[in-house]
This record gives sequence, structure tokens and C-alpha cells, in this order.
Amino acid sequence: MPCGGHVMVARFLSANDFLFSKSAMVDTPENAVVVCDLEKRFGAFVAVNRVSFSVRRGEIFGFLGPNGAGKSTTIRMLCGILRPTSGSGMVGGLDIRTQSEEIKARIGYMSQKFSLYQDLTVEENIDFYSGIYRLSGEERRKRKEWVLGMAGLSEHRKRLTSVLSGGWKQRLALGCAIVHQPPIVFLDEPTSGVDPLSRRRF
Amino acid sequence: MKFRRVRAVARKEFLHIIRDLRSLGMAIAIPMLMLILFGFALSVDVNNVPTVVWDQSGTEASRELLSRFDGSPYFSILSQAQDYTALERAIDTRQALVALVVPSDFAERIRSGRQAMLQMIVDGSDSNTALIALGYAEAICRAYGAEVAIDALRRSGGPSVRVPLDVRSRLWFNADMESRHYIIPGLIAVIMMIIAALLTSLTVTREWERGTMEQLISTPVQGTELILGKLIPYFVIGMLDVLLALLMGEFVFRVPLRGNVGLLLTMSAIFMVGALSIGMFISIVTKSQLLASQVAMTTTFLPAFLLSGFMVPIANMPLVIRAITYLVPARYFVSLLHGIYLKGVGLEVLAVEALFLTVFGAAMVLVAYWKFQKRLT
Repeated sequence: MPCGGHVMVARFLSANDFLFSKSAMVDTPENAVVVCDLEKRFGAFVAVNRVSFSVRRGEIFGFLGPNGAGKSTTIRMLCGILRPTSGSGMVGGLDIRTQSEEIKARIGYMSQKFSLYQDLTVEENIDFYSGIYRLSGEERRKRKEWVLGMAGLSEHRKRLTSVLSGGWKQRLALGCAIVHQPPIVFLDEPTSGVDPLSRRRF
Repeated sequence: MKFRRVRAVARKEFLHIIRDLRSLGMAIAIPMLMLILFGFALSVDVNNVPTVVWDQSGTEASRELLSRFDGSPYFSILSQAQDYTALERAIDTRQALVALVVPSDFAERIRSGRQAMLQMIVDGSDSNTALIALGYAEAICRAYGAEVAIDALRRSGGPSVRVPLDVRSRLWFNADMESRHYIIPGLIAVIMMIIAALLTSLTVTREWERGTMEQLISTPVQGTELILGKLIPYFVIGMLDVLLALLMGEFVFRVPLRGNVGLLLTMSAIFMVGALSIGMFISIVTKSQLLASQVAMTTTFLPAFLLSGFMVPIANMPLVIRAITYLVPARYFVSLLHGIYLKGVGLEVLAVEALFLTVFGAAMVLVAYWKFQKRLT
């Protein structure tokens, strides 16, 4: 894809904030994500200034940058929940402008804001997302056990999410975001507010 | 639209309601409270109006007239006064709402065939009661006057007279003039409007405020699935409230239900869908729980309460307001409820109202769907 020569990673500088775009088994030939001159303005404010980059299949790709650098806004555009002002982007071979609903079925997105339902139990949260992703029968049951095991919450499946500690909540949120085994995962500051040990585990 | 997603959303929403005892309590307590308040406390019937009397005449004729007042169900003479000061005090202290003064020449004038006078003073600070009491008083006096006239003719040996116009009125549909009988059915509309709009007005805003919506819109769930899934639990609660109101109307307030219960429930269901969708629409547009509940309150409760004909007759409203009532969906539902409950009529009479209600329900669903966007702004 032809692109102007902006290199995105160079623009984001701080060490504290992370984005991982991890691609495992994408069916597009070489690139999971291709972004070209992507721009987002909110009125006069430029949130993302003509960003271009590409991420290969299987690659773990991170954004570094200070608050307000535009990391979350970029991710949101890639997830199809925010319309770009200009520029183009392909995720899993699909256009983020015209095929955002198709993209949503193939990605997992863990937002920066806390995304679990606090008044639901661990299990109910997982059940809800597997329902949304239309998992059924045996697969649904297996994926649930997998998420519970991954998050270390098998013993606490009947607990309300609100009483869980921060690290557990983060792992459960990740589990819910990838319950449908998406080929591409976007994580927006997945380990903020979590102690170093939990962060390492994550 | 995928059934599995709708089911997932509906189940999640049910869990929210069950876990949040406040909203569940609200859904049951508000209807109960309103039914009890309006059913027992609110009565626009005018009965036994406390009356004070100054009988200056003190004759058989004056006592006869006053006993007609006291004997009617509308007035009860509680005290006698001997001057205007006492009358005034009785009205000031609200011991009496009506004062009757019979002049000293009352009997004399009646005997001699001249026009006799009766003074009636009414506490106009409660204009509704005053107006109704005046009407009753005039009717009593007119009947008395006619009798006196006929009596006089007969006594003077004239030809046997018949009263030229003999009105025999019968009240249909609410023979006892119980205001409760039309308030309770109309109240069902108001209750449903409040419950439906208030509860659903929070469901979408809550997800925006807590950040769960951002997660949700990144999934393949569609707007229709989300809206439908969210409506189902509230629909169930709303219909339970309708049943609650029906049962209380039947067994507590003894309001006769003359029409078809099935038709009543069907119409309630249609109205419920529309009302729920209004709440959903508000929730989608406002994005803040506080604002949403306030908007829901003012745009649904007030019109349903004031402009639906539930308490204030639409026919008495000024032309402009009357025109506005055509935009209030509760108006159609209230006339359906009155028709089914009190008159026992069916769709053959109520087809227009039913049609308007259905159009309203469908339009609200579409508006809510159209406004919902799976994007951040």
C-alpha cells in the first residue's frame, strides 16, 4: 500500500502506556494491520496526525507515547468504533471505513475504561460475551473454562466482579475480549493500575 | 438479527435488574403507591359538603327547603348561625364550604306567590367543588320551586297541571358516579408510562457512563439486537405492573371490568412497547443517567398525567391544548382503557385509538433504532 513516510512509533514516546496488536493466524497474506495517513480531528483539535504503519501477522506491535498522543484514538479507529477524519486502514484485510461491522467479529478489543459488568458474576460476564459472539454448546463451555483458567478465577466463578481485585478484573476483561478466539487483538493499556507482579503475569 | 445475541443481552439486563434492588423496588413500589394514593385519597366526587345555615325565616316553608338540602347526598347541614359574622367564621375556618341564608320574608313571599330569595355563599377557593356544589344547589331549588308553583296552582283550583318537562336522567357506565371508576383505569396508562420510560431511560446511559458500552460496540452485536434485548426484561416488568393494577382494580377498588381482558392486555402490550422505546430513545440521546431520568420524567409523566384525559377532561381544555393532546400517546390509551373498562366496548368502537397506539409504538421503536449508533462521537 503506498504511503507517505510517517513512522508512527517514533512519535509516541513514554514508556508507561502500551498497546499490543498481536496477530496469530490471519488469513491475509503478510499484514494483519495496514494503516495509511490515518487522521482524526475533533473540531480543530488533531488527535491523530496522519499516522502510517503496518503490522505483520504474528507480530506484537506496541504504541508508546505520552497522554494525549493519540494511542487510544488510533485503536478505536482500528476497532471500527470511531470514524477516521481521513486516511485509510485495513484490519485483517477489511476496510475500517466500510467494513467495520465485519472487523468487529474478527477482533478482540479491551478498552482502557473498565469494561466488565460489576454487578454480574465472573461466570455471567463470560456467558454474556460468549452469547454476543454466538458461541454455542461444547465450544462455549470449553472457552469458558479456558477463560476461567487463564484468569485464575476457576475457584471464584460465582463471585460478583465488583469484589475482585484489580489484577483479576483485568485478566477477566482480557478473557471476555478474546473468548471468541479472534485472530487480532487490540489491548488499550491492559495493565494500568495493576501491580508489577500481576503485570508480569499478564 | 441473531436470536442468541438478543438472548444474551436480555439475560444480562435481567441480572442487572435483579441485582439492583432499588430499580426493582421502584418498578413495584411506584405503581402500588400511585394506585393506593389515587384510588383511596383522590376523589373528585362532591358529597356531604359541610353547610352552615342561617334561617331568618324559621318557618315550615324554610325548614322544608333546608331539609331538602340536608336530605340530599351532596350537602350536610352541620351548624346553624345567627349572623353573618358566624357564617364568615365557619367558612374561614373551613368548617363549612357553603352557607345558606333564608331571608325572614321567605315564607311570606312564597305564600303570596311572589318570588322568594335564598342566599347561597360558596367558598370559591376550591373552585371545582364550589362549581359542583352550586350545580347541585340550583337543581334542588329548581325542583322545590316547581313543586311550590304546581302546588299553588292546584290549590287555587286551576286545571291539573303537569310539569312541562320531566327529565329522567340515567348515568350509563358509571351509575354511582364513582370517580374511582374512571381514575383507576386511566391510572394504568400513567403508571405504565412512568415505569416504562423511567426504567429504560437508564439502561443505555448507564453503559455509556460505566464504560461498558465502548466494549459492547466493539463486538458484532447489532443495534436491533441490543435494543430488543434490553427491552424484553422491562417489557416483562411492565406487563407485571399492568397485571398488578388490574388485580388491585378488581379486588381492592372494585372497579368493574366490563370489556375483554385479552383486548386490554394486547393494547397494554402495544402501548408498553411504545413507552419503553421512548425511554430507550431518551437513554440513547442523553448519555447521562441524571439527565435521562429528568427528561423521561418531564416528557412522559407530565403529558400522560395532565393531557391524557386521565383526570382532567380533554373536552374542557382550550383549543390549543386540546390539539396538543392528540400528540400524547397516553391519550389514546386512556380512552381505550375507559372504553374497555367502563363501557365494555371492543375494537369495533376503539379501532382508531388502537391504530394510533400501534403507529406510536412502531414509530418509537424505529426512532430509537435510528438514533442508536455503534460509534463513539
